[in-house]
Amino acid sequence: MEQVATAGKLLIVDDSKVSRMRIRAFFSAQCPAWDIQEAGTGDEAIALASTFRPDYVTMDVNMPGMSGFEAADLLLMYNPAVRVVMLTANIQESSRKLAAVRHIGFVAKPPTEASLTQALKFLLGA
Amino acid sequence: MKALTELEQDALAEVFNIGVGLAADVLSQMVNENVRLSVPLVELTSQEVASTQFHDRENRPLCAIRQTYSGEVTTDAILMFPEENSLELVRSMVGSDIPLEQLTEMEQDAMAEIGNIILNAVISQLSNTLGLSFEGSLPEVNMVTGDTIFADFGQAAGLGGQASVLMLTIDFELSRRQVSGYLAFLLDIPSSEKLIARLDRFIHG
Repeated sequence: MEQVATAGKLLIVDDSKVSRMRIRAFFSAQCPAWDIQEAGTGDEAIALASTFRPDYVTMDVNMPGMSGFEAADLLLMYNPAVRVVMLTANIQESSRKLAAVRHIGFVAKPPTEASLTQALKFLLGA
Repeated sequence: MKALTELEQDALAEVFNIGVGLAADVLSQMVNENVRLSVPLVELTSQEVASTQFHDRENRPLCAIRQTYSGEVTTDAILMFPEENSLELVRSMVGSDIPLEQLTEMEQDAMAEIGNIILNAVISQLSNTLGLSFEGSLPEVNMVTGDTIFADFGQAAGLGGQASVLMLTIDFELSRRQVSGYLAFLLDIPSSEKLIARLDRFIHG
């Protein structure tokens, strides 16, 4: 996939530091003009979103406190234009359905070049 | 505790076989190398028997990642690696250019995430095949030994000494790194019975 030249703001929400690190490394290389911030929980994400105002969000599901789906609902309520992709190890059919009814993306972990490319394509609406 | 029939044993092995295959694929993507799998050995047994059998097989200190999955069937899923291998695994996951100090710092976090992804792969397969839905807890990382692991986790899950252990033993080996691991699932008696009922429904269509 070619590099994305346009600017944008990405919020990475994941309670695993290692996963955040891998996700950030991919997007920094692929979308060098993007401003990237991280949150370790859904609550942190909501707090950060009010000032950071992300255009794009990658969201884990199982995190301490609120679930990724709850956090995604709140982010979408504040800004219906935000593009959210769930990036999760919870690949049960029930989780996929939760993403489908919200019209948000769903990509299975681990965060690899292939899975993150899939997430990026969803975020860009490609 | 109801013993498994030959057909149930076979079906359970097959369901887990597919789940572990998926988990191996996931692990292989995370560490960028081939993962060799043994044929899964599925036994529904008591904690005591499981502890004895497991200790005979593995007596090194283990890094265990545990998650509780609740729903119609509740189970404690445990992924274990010999402790001496855990840094090596983390290194394969994050890359060799990370300094040792930083690597040690992120060891716990990385092991939790490895467990989270692998256990979810197996549980999701079980969920999708048997039509069960699970809510997973956050992963916990502990250092344990083979002779106490099932008693410790059974107690932590409030199962006492009476819990069945659905012992799924699978050796997986990262060929270049000589890392092997084990998976086990602890279920109490009502959950074991519900699992078997779902399995029977799956077998008989």
